[in-house]
Amino acid sequence: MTTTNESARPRTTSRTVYSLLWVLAGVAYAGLIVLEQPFAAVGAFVAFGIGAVVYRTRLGEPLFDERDNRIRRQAADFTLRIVGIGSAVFFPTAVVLWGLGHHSWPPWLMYLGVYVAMLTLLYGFVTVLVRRHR
Amino acid sequence: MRNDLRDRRDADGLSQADLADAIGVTRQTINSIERGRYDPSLELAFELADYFDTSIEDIFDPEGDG
Repeated sequence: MTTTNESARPRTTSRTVYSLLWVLAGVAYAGLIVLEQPFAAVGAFVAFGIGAVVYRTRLGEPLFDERDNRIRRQAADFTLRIVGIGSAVFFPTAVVLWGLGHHSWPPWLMYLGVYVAMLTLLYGFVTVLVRRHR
Repeated sequence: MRNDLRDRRDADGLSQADLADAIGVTRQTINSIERGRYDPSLELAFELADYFDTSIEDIFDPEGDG
């Protein structure tokens, strides 16, 4: 009788290899930046990234299916909600504290605010585009 | 959504991986559908129905829960 604990299939291994290559790209990129090796960091990221893309292309079959896509969409949706709700609470609070003189407004916070604003605008723009195509 | 995919698969002597390969999805997707944790797209539901030579409503019961 078939159970839910059947052995892993090659596709599972392929997904692991593909994901691992991107993880290595990110770790090498961040690690080499911390070690103050900017060119090596970019080189390693590009090398691992190209390796992942080539690996996926040469497999000749879809690596992810509709369930993976739905999981990714759901994760992206949750992430955007967390960023949106967090920003809607954090930034007005920070502005009020700044206005009351209880909080300084460091440059990094301004950059973060601009980034969040641009992300929100991009989301709105993409939403309009998608809506027009449906 | 309840379904009898596992019964049909067992009746045909197929493993989850066999069915997954035949349909073109991952074994994890078949496992999730059987456990009622994932409702397939209409396209995948049609593919499963075609594979077992039956209709979607014979495999899936929208009134059922898991």
